[in-house]
Amino acid sequence: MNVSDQPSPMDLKGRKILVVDDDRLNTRIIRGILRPQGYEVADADSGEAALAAYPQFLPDLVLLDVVLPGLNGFETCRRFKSLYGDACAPIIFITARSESEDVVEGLAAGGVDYLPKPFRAKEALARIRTHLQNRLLLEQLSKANAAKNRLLGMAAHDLRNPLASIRGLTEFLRDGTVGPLSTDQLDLVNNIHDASQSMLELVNELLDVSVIEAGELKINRAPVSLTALIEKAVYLNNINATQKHTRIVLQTCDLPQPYLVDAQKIKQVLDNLLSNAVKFSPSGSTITVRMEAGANGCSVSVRDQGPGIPKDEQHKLFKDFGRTSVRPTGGEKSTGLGLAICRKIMEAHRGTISAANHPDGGCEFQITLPS
Amino acid sequence: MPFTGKVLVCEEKVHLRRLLSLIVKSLGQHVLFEAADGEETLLLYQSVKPDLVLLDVNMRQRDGIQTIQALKQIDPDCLVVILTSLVNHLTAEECLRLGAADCLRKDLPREEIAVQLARIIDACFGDIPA
Repeated sequence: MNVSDQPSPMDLKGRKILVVDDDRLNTRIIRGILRPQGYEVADADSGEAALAAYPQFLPDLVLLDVVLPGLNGFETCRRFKSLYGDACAPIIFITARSESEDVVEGLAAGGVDYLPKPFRAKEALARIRTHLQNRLLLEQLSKANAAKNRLLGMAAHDLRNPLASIRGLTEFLRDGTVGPLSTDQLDLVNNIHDASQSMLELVNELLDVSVIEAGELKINRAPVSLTALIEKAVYLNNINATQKHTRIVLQTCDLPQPYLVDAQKIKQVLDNLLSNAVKFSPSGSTITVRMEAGANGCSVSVRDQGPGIPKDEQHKLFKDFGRTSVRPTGGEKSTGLGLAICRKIMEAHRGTISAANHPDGGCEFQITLPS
Repeated sequence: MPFTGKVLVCEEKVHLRRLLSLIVKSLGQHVLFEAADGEETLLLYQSVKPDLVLLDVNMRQRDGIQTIQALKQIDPDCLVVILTSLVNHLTAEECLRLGAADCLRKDLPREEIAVQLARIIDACFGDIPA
């Protein structure tokens, strides 16, 4: 983010803080510190009461005493975390000054900070302000991200149909359906066709990313023969491989049949890994696809004899638009989205995807599926 | 393919209308009519009585749902195939519920649209063994 893009000093007035303390006097002191800052404050005198109050009050921050009757502060914190996960408001523990062990346990339970008793008002306010600001930033970030996804999705949807038409109409021109073309005309038409084709691919990938990020990646599981799926993908990708004087070899194994997966989506992952391997393979090289089955599931690995992944660029691989500096051997285009989509698809299947350079050269991509 | 009937293509976007018409033509000797919106579709339907209507669902003037309801009132037996893309599958489901015979993804590659359309025509008009 650019410096100029940073949000202006944030107004934290009206932000809601839930104070959990069984000591009435303490609660009053805290209220007395927080209220003048414009915070809205609610209190609870036990962990149970705090858990009950949270969903109605929906605080932006929780101040939580460690020593409480019934559920103690740590246990209450763990319950909050398991109930609300990452969306849970930040929790600051209130501890006695001497209890340094408590600090460690509190942070381990999911607390973001601690405030020692008795309070120093300025210190307490500064820490609270920091965490409220973080919370606000996180909210703004996730809203901005959702807006970006909506925009991507809308743009992709709206571009898709006209692009498909351009491609289809040029195919009719090319076929001579509407009359013969001269060689030069045909050349131009082919150019239009190829350009619209690659734009369509980009738009489709954008659409996938935005749909998947918006949490709408629907996995329609059905019993599928993985072996057949892999064999088909290898067969189809071998057509392109042959044109580049490379070949894909498949080493099969007995897989427990069938697997419950979304065939369309897994096919997309396999196609991506295979076409990538072809893309980055030098002429005359071999791509090896190996299937393995174990007690915990199965794996498919795709190994090429290309240049491998530069060490300092491995972190880019599975991120959106994470293109590396390695260039395809046949000048093919890439959007840098394919592997990001693969990762999301594999995660939706509770599987994994990983990549590593092989000691003997080339790199190996592996996907795993749980049994 | 035995089908040589009249086909009405209703699609708001000119480019898609042209593409779909060319695909329909490529499948055989059909008589082809084109409409740009629901209103035009209803008028044409009454005057030419097509055997098959390919109907866009996402139109500004009278959308697919309203059009299919009106068509079914004019002719309960009319054969309507809904044209959809990724976006409007919910509308498509509603159309199927209202009596559309099938739906056709118009955002697929040309050959795939052709294959699907041929399959639909075959299912609707193919020779039924005596």
